[in-house]
Amino acid sequence: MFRAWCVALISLLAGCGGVSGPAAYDTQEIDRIVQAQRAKSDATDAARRGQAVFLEGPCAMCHTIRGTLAMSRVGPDLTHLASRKTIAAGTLPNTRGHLAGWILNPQNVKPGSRMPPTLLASEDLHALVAYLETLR
Amino acid sequence: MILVLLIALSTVWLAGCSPAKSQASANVERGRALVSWYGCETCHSVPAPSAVRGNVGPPLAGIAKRAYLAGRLPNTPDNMLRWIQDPRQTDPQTLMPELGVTEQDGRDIVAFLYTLR
Repeated sequence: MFRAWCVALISLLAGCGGVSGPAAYDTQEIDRIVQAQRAKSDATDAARRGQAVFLEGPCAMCHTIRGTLAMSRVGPDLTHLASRKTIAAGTLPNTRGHLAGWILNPQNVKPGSRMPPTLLASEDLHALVAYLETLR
Repeated sequence: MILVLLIALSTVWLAGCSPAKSQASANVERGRALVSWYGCETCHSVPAPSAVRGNVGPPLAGIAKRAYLAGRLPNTPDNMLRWIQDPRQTDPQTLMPELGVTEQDGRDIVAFLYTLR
């Protein structure tokens, strides 16, 4: 009986025994979402503040953005981040929600990733994301 | 023993999946996918099969029965939509970003979230 209970628990944890998997990423829908987000992204003011957040905060310690003072080679070069379809080594679509969540706590997405959680004030996060979205 | 295992498995399968299935309309299914596409689940853990289980904001399990949203809005479908579309209108200090969620996308997401009882 204990064994049966264990199996039941495992299948419950596994999301109903694999009856349905994670929602598949629909490329066309993702493109639609990204385009709407970029069209609405706060124009230059937020992006300018976001660049300061990037350069003066911990991001610049690991990443390069060509044309700025961020020149570290520990993490990926982000010069054309906004042109990428995915982030986190192909794990997530490059939509605003995923990007913000990844920045705040990468360990949820890829446990063991060398990128640490980044604790940001709300205004700084929104500005930073607006800036990153300009990096075509 | 095998029979017991089979019964246990099917009980779990029926208990875990049938209610969600029976409530599923096109909107709920689409809402579930949108939660994944917009990236909600990178911050909020969603009690559904998911590539990522976020732990930045509150988990969404049981949100249908939660009394308040964002610590201040009574939990109604309209308030949930308002919060999803423009979180900073309700809480200027929130980290939750405005994701450009359209009216239709928002309604589908809300429909899905109200299945999380």
